[in-house]
Amino acid sequence: MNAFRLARLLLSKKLLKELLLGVQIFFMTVFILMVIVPFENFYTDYSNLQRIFGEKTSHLVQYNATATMQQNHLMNNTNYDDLLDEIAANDAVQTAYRSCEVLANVPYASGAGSEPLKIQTNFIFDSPELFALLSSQLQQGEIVTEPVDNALPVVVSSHFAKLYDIGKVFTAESVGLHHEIVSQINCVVTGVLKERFVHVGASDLSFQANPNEEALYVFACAPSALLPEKIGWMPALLLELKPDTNAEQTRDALCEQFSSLGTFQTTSDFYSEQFDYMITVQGGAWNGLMLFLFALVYIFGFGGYIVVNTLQKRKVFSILMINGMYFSKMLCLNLLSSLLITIPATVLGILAAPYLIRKLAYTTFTGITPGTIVCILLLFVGSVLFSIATTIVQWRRTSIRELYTQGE
Amino acid sequence: MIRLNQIEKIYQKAKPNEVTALKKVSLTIHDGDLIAITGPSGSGKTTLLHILACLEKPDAGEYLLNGQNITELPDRQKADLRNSYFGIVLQDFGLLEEESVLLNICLPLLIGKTRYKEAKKAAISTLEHMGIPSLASKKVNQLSGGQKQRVAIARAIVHKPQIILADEPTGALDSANTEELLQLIRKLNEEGITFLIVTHNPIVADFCTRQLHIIDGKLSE
Repeated sequence: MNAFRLARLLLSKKLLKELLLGVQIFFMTVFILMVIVPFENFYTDYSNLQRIFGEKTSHLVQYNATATMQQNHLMNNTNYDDLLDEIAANDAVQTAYRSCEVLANVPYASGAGSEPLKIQTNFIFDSPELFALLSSQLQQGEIVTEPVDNALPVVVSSHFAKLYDIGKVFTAESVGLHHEIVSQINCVVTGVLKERFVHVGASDLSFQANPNEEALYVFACAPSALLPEKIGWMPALLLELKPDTNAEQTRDALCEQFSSLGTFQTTSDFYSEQFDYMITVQGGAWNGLMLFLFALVYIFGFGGYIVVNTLQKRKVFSILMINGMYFSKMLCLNLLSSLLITIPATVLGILAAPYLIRKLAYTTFTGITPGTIVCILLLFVGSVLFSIATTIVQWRRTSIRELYTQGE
Repeated sequence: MIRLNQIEKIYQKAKPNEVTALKKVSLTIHDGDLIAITGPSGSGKTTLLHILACLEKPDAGEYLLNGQNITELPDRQKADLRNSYFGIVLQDFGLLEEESVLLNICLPLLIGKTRYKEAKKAAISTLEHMGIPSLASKKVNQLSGGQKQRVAIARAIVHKPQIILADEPTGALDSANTEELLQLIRKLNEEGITFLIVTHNPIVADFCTRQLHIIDGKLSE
C-alpha cells in the first residue's frame, strides 16, 4: 500500500492533466481496436482454416468462376455441374468441396393479421464432405444427413437458434432474384453452431470465417431426397489435393486447362490477396497505415506522457531518492503512478469500444475477441517499455543533485 | 564513525570548464560530534555534504563508514544508508510543497516499508517531541520558513538516524528562528545524534563543538 501512497505523489494535484491523458487513452483504445479487428479477423480466418484442415491447408486450391458465369447462375440458374465435375476429376484432387447459397424466408412471429412475419436467412447447401466439417463447430446437437420425419435436417447459427432451437421444425421459402418464392422446404434443427464458427466456402467458396454474429445461417447437406435431384451448384469449388502433389503446380495446370472459365488460387495466393486488400483499400480505409499511425500515436501519447511527467516531477523524484528510494524502485513507482490513470482508461475503452464502434456503423467490426485484447495489451506493454527505456536514459545521465536543482 | 581519506570530486571532467570541487579531503567524524563546515560560496561545502550523504560519488579516495569502505557500494545500498543511517536537511528544505506536513515526515519510513499507520504514529510523536504537533495536518506551502525548517528536521530524524547532514539549515531563518533551531539541534545532539552542518552563519559555526573550514576544495580544522 505504501507504493500506491507514494505513487499518488507523482500525480498532479489538479488532476486535469491526468484526466486528459485518461480521455486520450480511452479514445486511442477504441480506435486501435477498430483498426486491429480486420487484422485479427484475418489471423483468425487463417488459424481457423488450419484448425479444420491441419497440414492439408497448404494443399487447397480454390476455383472461382468468371463474373459472367456467376451472373448466369444467379439469373438463369445455369447448371455448371459438368464443368465442376471435370475440374474435380484432375488427378491431383483428393476431395472436391461444393457449396450453394440461396436466400430463404423463414417465419419468425405472428403478424397482426393471419400472415406470419418473415425474416430473410442465408440458406447454404453443402456437399457431404463440406457439411461434415461443421461437426467440430457445434455447441449443441449433431450433424444429420438423412431426412427426419420428412424434414430436411439443418444446423443453424447461434443467432438463428433464438428463433428455432434444436428439434424445432420450420418451413423455409427459397427466394428468387425478383423475390418470388421458388420452393418450400420443411426443415428440422438438429444442431446449433458455436457463436463464432467457420464455414469454408459459401456462395463463392471463399474462406469465410466468423460471419457476423447477427446473421442468420442455415446449413444443410445436399443432395438430399427432399431437394431437387440437381442442386444447381454455384460455379465455385474448393479442391483438397493429394498430399504428394504440389499445390502451385496443380494450380498452374488447372489455370492452363480452364483459363477462360475462371481463376484458381492456392491458400497462400488467397491470403496474400486478402492481406493486400485489407491493408490498402478495404472499405476505403487504409487499415495498415491507420493501424501503424494509431499504434505510434498510442505509444508516443502514453509513453510521452510518462516522459513529460518524469521531467516535470524531477524534484519529487529527487526528494524521494534523497530519503532513500533507489533507482529501480523509482522506475516502478513512476510506472505505477501512470498505470493508475492508464489502466482504468484502457479497460473503459475496451468495454465501450463495441458500443461506440457499432454506433459509428463500422461494418467490418465483428466484436472484441481475445485476439484483439492481446493486441491492445501488446501495445500497452510496448508503451510501458518505451517509457521505461526513456526514463532510464534520462535518469542514468543525471545525478540526484542535478535532478533536485533541475526540478526547481 | 565516518572517515574520509583523500576524497576528490571533479565536475565536468576532461572538459574545458572542469572544476575540482574537493581536493584530497580527509575527515573523521566521531559519534556525537556537532560539526560546522564553513567556507565561501563554491568552496565545496555542499559537495562534501552530498558525498557524505551518498548522493554523489567521489572521483578518488575512500569513504569508510564504521570501518567499511562504502565508496563503491551499489546505488541500492547507498539508498538504504540514506534511508536508515543518515538524515538529510537541505538548504531549501526539500519538502513536497503540496503535501501535508505529516506525509512529508512519513516519507523516509514509507520508503523504508514501515506501515503507514506506524509511520504516522512515529511522525506525530516526532512533531510532539519538537513541539510542533499542530502543524501535522497543514500543507507545507502554508508554513513559514522557520516552520518548514523544523519540518525538514523532523523528517530527518523520524527514522532515528545516526547522523544528520544539514545544508544551511538557518539560511532562510531570522535570528529568533535560528536561535530556536539551534536549541533544537543541541537537544537532539545531546540525545546522541551526530550533526554535520554546512553553514555561512558564524553564530551557527560558533554554536558547534567542532569547526571545519573549506576553501577551494581543501579542508582544514
